[in-house]
Amino acid sequence: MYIPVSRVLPLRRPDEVDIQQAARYMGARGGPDAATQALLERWAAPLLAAAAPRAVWLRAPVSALEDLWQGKDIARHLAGCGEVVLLAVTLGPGVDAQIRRAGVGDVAAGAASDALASALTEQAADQAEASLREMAAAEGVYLTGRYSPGYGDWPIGVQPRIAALLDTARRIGLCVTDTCLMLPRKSVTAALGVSREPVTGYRAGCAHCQLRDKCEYRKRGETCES
Amino acid sequence: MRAEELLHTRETILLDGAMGTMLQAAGLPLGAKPEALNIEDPALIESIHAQYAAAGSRILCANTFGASAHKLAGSGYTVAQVVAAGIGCARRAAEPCGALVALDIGPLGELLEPAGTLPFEDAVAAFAEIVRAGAEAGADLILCETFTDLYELKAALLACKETCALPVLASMSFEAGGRTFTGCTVGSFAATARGLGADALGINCSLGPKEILPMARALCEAVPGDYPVFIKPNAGLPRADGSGYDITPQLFAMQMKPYRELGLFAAGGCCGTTPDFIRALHKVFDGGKAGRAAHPMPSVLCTPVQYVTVDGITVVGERINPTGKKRFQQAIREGDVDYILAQGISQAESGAAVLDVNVGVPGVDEPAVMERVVKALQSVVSLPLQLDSSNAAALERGLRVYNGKPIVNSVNGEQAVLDQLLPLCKKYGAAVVGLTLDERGIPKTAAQRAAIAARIRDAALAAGIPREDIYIDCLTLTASAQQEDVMATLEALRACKEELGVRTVLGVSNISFGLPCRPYLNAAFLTMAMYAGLDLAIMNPASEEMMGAVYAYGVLSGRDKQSGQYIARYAGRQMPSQAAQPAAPQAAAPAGESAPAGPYAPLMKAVEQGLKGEAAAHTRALLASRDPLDLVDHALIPALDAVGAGYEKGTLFLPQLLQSASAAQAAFEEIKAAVAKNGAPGSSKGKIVLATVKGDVHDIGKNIVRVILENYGFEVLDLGRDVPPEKVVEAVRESGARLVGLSALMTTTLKSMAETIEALHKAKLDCKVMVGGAVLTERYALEIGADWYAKDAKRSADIAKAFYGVQ
Repeated sequence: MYIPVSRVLPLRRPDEVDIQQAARYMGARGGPDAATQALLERWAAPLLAAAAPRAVWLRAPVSALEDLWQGKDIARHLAGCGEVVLLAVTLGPGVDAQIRRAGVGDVAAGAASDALASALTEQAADQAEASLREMAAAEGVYLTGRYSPGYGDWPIGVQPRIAALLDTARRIGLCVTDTCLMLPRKSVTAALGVSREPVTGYRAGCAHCQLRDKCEYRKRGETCES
Repeated sequence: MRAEELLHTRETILLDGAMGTMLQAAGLPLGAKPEALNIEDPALIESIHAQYAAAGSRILCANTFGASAHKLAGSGYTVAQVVAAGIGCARRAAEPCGALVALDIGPLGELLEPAGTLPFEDAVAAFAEIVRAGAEAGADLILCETFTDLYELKAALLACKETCALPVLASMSFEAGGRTFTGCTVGSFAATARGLGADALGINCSLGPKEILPMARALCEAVPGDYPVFIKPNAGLPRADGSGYDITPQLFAMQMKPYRELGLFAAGGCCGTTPDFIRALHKVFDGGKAGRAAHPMPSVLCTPVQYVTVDGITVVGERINPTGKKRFQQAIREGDVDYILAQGISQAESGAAVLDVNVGVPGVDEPAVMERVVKALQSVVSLPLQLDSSNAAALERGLRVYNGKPIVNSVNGEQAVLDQLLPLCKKYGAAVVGLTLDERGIPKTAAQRAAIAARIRDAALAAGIPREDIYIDCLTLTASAQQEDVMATLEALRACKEELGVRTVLGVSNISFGLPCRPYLNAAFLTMAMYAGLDLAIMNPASEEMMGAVYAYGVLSGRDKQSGQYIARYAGRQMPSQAAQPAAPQAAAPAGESAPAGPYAPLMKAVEQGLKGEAAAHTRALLASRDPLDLVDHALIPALDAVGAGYEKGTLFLPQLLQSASAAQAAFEEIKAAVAKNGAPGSSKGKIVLATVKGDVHDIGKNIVRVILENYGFEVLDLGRDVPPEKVVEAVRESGARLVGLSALMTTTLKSMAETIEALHKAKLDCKVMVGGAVLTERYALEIGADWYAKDAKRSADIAKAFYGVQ
């Protein structure tokens, strides 16, 4: 019998936060203006210092985790993949505390720190994905992109199950509430298909997106990926 | 042999190894609940225990690690069922060889506030349920293990101590850097858990014996020589291919050999270890143990991440104290916690090592405020706190929710006070300050004060508080009124330090009360007191004269080796007397395109451009000659309106809007201070209750809305995040607010938004509701009974202005 066991994936703290991405998350259009750039730079250092990125992953046959694949989009994403990698990444509770600290008496600093943390979470997830890709390449298999609960019609209701499978509480200190919130807040989970053939997976696009009707990007004819 | 005796035998006893590893080998599917097997396959569980007993384990840990109500949800079993069955399995295996059975308690699987949503008392109750079940089922002792959050461990230890009399072993799991996931150090673990009455401390899981060794040494140094310590490492580190752990029983035993010198009370294994690993430990620990040598214990105050050793001058920030500060009193009365937090953060940045927390204002519920402020402070600053009150109920509330090892300020020589407060300090593991006064007042002479100090010390020792946790305050009297007493204070201090072997405290700044240029006197007195042996100086860390004296003393007394700290702080700095005067804010705005004219123009410009410092400075300047409320109506609101209009038109974006809000916030803080100083009542444009609904912790949006509403002059009652419907109802009822704002970010929490609106309607309160949040739509908002959907903070301000008829 195949018992997939979750393993910690070592991550290093990025050297800097992606300020441009953080500015986007904060709501800047185009490049940030000088004041916003300065605000983000001012709060990037303590945010980065508070971050302790950690990741955990496991690899299992897609068929062994049937209860996870709810909705059409994740099924399409994993089409043609016999196995799947589940991944969870967190920046740790120190980041949440730094966002709270920055926001005391200064709402802009709080919002800037929150945006910086979101950008840093993506960076950490990118880093985790890159090392998974390296491992896959060494073995001669291919990975799809990351697909997370909440994309398309894959419900965030699967979050507790993913956390249990990965044993995230014990391995990286990540808990999921009864309302499916991940804590520490700046965390992501994702599924990546594993295939013998080159695959890209299926990006959710806007079709099933929860935010479809009110998305500011869509209104401007852009997407959140551009 | 009873558990209490086992703690102090002359040999290192063997614990058991992993349960989960054994169950996985037996085919337990991934993600399944192992505790259910206590009921569904007791023979399997009992056989694993029996294998460990046969391998020589003297304490068998029942299969109850995950037996919390939260983790068992959906299993169909209650905590009591699973725990009783688990203890039963272990007992049957233990009996034949006389082993003891430990109720095994792991983390609850939920994060506690403030990192998570689980309230501290709910965690205590959840652990108490497990402890009660374990005690009733006949456990011999309790092992709390694999904790990574010190706060959660505190909840578990309180539950153990308040529910039963069984011995409690407590163990945390550290990463290679010597900290847990939440940043807790080995030292903070030791100081806090021992203070809370754990009978033995240990380290388990995460790493193998080799990696844990330096942390085990640190743990042994952080507890007295005769205090029991235990270790349960993993079978090395996980193999890269996911096929288990990387060391064999033989290698495990070899790596455990260096632990012999630590005189462990017990050793066992965690993940990946099997009965073979335990068997291999026999030859490591056979032949008895050499005890650890006694060593002097440091005086420690801590939070999980900050471990402060008090040995000589240590700065305690005094600013969180309403005495003589109208703005502070107002903040406490209005529940304006942010103001208090800002004081805490700025003192931490100025170099305080500990923060004094006094929230006693006549007419407020001091116990409730103390609890609220302690919780809020520890969510944003990591410094240890000194809980400052004479109200026992307030101290207990603060001590209970404090995360780490605090200090209580204060008891005194009155027997009734000692009898009431020392048991509290003991229960919660707090250090304590004793004032050298009693029912007859403050004695004149140094000898009399030292005599009271001796009485306090003896009472504290008798109450079980160790000597290193006793601090004596010989009382600073004002030099202007009682000049001759200054030296008596210092002599008493020296006597306490040298003759009683206690730590010392002084509220330094009191010395200069009533005299001009107080920092000169404060700094000189502080220097004299440091030379007399002062440990804790309660003072204003923003006073550079006093901080300078602290750093200079470090150099002159030789404590600051090679003057490293002094140089690090002052290299490249100019003396204040030589520094240029800070430029006053420019009276007129720099030439701009369409700069409005008039006295408010510079302030408006600063707000529109999001310049915090300038907005505050212009506000201060304007307040000298103008009514504070005029500033709100004629400067702040028009400026915010202009920014809001630009945001709607798309000429500026959220970051600019936020920076303007921050600048207005800074201006508002100046206005509030001025209003408080004049004693005039603040005027409110209307009350609004705000909350992020139950189950949701994403409160950035709600915080933005709050600030913008406040900037428009509304009185906002911010209930925070994860707020249950009944709390919203109660707040609306009590405050009489007629407008409520609710936020929720996630699809999963929209349900509790609907429930909150329903609860408000059911309570038949005369209030309207506006709602907002990322996944919310206008249609859904109206469907769940909201009166308005606010798509952003600007819109919420428009709704509030229209509702309350504000122009």
